[in-house]
Amino acid sequence: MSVERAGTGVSTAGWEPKIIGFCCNWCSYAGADLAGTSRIPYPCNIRIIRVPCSGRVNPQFVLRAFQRGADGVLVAGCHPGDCHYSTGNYFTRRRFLLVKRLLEYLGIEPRRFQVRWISGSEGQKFADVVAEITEQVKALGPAKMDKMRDVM
Amino acid sequence: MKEKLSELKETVARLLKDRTVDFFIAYQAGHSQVEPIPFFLTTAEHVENLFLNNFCAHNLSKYLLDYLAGDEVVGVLAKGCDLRALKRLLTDHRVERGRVFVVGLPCIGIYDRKKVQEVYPAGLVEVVEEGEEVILRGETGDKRVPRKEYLLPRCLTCPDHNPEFYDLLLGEKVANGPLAEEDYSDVRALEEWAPGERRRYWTRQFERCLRCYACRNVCPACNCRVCCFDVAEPRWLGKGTSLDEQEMFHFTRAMHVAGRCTGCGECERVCPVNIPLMKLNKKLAKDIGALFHVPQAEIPTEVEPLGQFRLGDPDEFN
Ligand code: SF4
Ligand code: SF4
Repeated sequence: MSVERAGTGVSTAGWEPKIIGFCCNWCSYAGADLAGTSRIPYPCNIRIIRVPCSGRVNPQFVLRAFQRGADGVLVAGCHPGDCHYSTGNYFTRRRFLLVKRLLEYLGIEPRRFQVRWISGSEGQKFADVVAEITEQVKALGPAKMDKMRDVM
Repeated sequence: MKEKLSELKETVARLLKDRTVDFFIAYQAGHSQVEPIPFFLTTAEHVENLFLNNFCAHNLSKYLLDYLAGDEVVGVLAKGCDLRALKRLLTDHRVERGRVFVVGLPCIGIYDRKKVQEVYPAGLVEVVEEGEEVILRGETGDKRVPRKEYLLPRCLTCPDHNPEFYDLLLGEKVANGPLAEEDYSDVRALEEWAPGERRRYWTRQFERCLRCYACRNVCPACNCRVCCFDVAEPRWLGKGTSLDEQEMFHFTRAMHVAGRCTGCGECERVCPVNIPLMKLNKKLAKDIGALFHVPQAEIPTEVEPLGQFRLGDPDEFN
């Protein structure tokens, strides 16, 4: 079956979105682990990168991920108040409220970049978030920002 | 502003003679009336070459970063916006207050060289202000234009026509208050576009960038000892000028000044290829105002908005 996105003329047959997930070591990565050990299925489109804290995620990582071929990016951290380092995710929250708006302003579709709080006990939430973002990015089609490398 | 030239000459000569300052940074004549250039005076004899008019846009306080080593006291001429830039450097602990002698310059607005050159390409002799209008007086006669339309964008919304502090003020204070409210209309207009249109718009802007770094070099908020764009390791940014590196440069620059940008607009003024950098800076300033309740006029703040948080900050990440 060949799937064509309306109006784009881009064939997305066989295409699967690539989603980069920055997960904090203490909550979201443990949440992903719990999803696995509990045998909760979720789409294999996500590639997890473990970071010590969601506050470790430099906004440049997010843009670079897109520029190197990601179709979607997820930053996941502990719920506010639960940070292993007490306050790291409060800074994350401020920073990414802005980054999200700036990326949209630069023309990146809103659903492609998401930030979520996922605790170590929320294996089901982790699976649901990955399924949701995969679905949304699939509907948007390839981001194709890796092509920028060839444009001088 | 021109009328303050003789007072400036006297003042600078005195400061240099009595060793209040070791040298002084002001303006000298450039190629034409509309292009004054920075001037570094080391002796009182230099004052004959001082220059002052309503095109003296450069923020001179950024040069203070070139004199961090040593113990000279540097005199600097500062308009309201330049003082805000100096405040940025002081707040960031990059410059010591005791090593700067500020000669404050009340200012009712600086004209945009590019706009003036459109109506008066060459031969401009002086500008004369007459209420709401300005007369461009030149070799080929006078041209009368509405003042507001020829000012630098920052001067329209300028909240401090008089510098906030100084060691000495040149002339009398002028009436304060912005000529227009900042309504972020250019940012809002862009926000209305479809994502694909915005993407094309910014691609067209970024692909012009020469990566000359003039925008960074002129910026008072870009005052780090070592800039991430200059280090070889880690390589935050490639040296190539492919579109991805251009976009990364602009995204990074904008984020690094988010909540620290004084809104001076110098970056956009000096860009040789007219990239609308203020549309990025203002987008961030507008969101910082709305989300964290820090209006542009309050920046620089002691702790920058992104260096702090409130438990009650908006949360949309659940
Ligand atoms: S001044 Fe303009 S051309 Fe130069 S690096 Fe900045 S944006 Fe690019
Ligand atoms: S980013 Fe531009 S407007 Fe903001 S402080 Fe720097 S030079 Fe001024």
